Amino acid sequence: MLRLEHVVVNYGSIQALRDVSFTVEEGEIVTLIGSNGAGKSTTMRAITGLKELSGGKIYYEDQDISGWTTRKKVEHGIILSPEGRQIFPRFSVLENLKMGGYLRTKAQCEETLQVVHELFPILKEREGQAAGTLSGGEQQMLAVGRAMMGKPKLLLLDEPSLGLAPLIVKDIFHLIKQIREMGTTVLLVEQNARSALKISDRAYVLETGKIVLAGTAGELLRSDEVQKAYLGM
Amino acid sequence: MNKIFEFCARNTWKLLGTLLVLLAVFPFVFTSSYILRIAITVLMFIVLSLSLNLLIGYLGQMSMGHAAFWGIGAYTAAILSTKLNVSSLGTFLAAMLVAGVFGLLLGLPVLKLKGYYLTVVTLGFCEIIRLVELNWMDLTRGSLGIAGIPPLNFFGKAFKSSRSVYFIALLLVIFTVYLVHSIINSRIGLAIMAIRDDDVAAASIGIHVFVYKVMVFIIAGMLAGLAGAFYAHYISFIDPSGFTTGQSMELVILAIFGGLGSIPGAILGATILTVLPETMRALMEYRGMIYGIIIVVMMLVKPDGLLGRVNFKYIRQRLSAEKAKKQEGKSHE
Repeated sequence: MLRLEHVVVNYGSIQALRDVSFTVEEGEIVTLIGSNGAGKSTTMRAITGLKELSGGKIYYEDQDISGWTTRKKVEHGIILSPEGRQIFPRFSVLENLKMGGYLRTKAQCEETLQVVHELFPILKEREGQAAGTLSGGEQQMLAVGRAMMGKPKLLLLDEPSLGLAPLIVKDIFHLIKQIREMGTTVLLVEQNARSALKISDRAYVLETGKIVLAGTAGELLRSDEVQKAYLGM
Repeated sequence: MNKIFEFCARNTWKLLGTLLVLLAVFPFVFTSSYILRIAITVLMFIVLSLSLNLLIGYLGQMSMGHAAFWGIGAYTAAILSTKLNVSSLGTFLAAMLVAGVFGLLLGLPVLKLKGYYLTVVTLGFCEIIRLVELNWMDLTRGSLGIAGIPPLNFFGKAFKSSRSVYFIALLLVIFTVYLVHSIINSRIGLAIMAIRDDDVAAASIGIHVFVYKVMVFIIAGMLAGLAGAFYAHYISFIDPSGFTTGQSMELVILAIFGGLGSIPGAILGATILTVLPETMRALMEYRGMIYGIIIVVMMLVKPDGLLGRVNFKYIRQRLSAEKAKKQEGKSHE
């Protein structure tokens, strides 16, 4: 479904991604793990068009999408839930969700809104509340819910568990599994490697802008290098 | 205070109607040319404050160069009316067009800038425009200014009396409020405010951040240009000293004082801060200091401005939800 080939991204003279190549197949949950500054979020930004490529190609459903705008990618179902629960704090919960379907018709939005409310009942309860007053976990659910409103085929989740209490993290990962069961392919960026690998099919390890390890989630969970570096064993 | 806001939210249309009637009878009740001059100035500053509020309050882009657009509008109207004898309708449209083009020119390079960097660029823009006004002698007459700008005239009829000018200013305010309100309450408005809250999140859901940012710069520039054209015809003399970075800062104060991202706030801020110095004329040299103290105290006590945190739309939604709940409770009984 998604294929990155030798992708290079620079921030000025700093090379953030160096020759990154990987694939995501339809219906999978694929995780990118890596420490801070490894280039995980830059990869997400490059895929969604928020950051220009300095080299390489990105293919989606066998089309070269390297030069596409973010808007065009959203229209084709590639949607990012950005790092740090970037909701619109002054909008109500319902307005935030509706903004997620900005490029879709009202009827399409209403239909998807029901699905999102089934997935996140708390967002229905809080729909009139200003989004900035939600708890951290609720804000994360809203961020994911807003991305779901665009009806993604490929959902990119950037650090969805960041700064959340362990119990909430468990809920979030459970929800990600549910989203995949609904037919959405998920590319996940996580520092919480253990939880992410448990729900993933495959994973890639990114270090200083390069893929250094790849395999099924089970293989990586058993890998000595991953255990030492990311699982604290 | 909440009760007052709830009352206003419940009776918005009635209050608006009453306000319009009061504004319509105002020049017949207060006939002094001094009071009418203050009222006209207030109305013009409301247009400026609303246009700047679009940029700062709704788009979240701090601009310290708004007086430049005001000046561009004023000079466009002055030049066209004195040199080419163009009527006020023509000068108003031309002023909006020229200021809009400059809005585009400023909007394009500042798109990648945020915060302090953007502020510095807008300050520089204002200074460049002032220097052009000061030094392009053939066109602007430099520090001598342009005198003898004809009074407002539409369809061959001149509007010289303070009362008629007042009504034209009032029409400009109504037009601006309508335009800003329509933009803010549309899908475009939601996109603009989403960009303000988080431009990365806005881009990630497919909003054209680039297009909307430039669009707001253009519209804000056009409205300030319109105010400038009105000002030139009303005051009949302009020179570069009226459109400085200092004036830009005063416009920012108007917008912040009333409350960013609020139309009633922008109107209230412009009204209070224009009328206040006039009421303190008797205090002579102390009035500047008192004006400053009031602003400092206001920012300490209410940093969001008078109405910055008051969202009448949400209050209305909350009230109607409460009403629906009550009715549901009654029907259960």
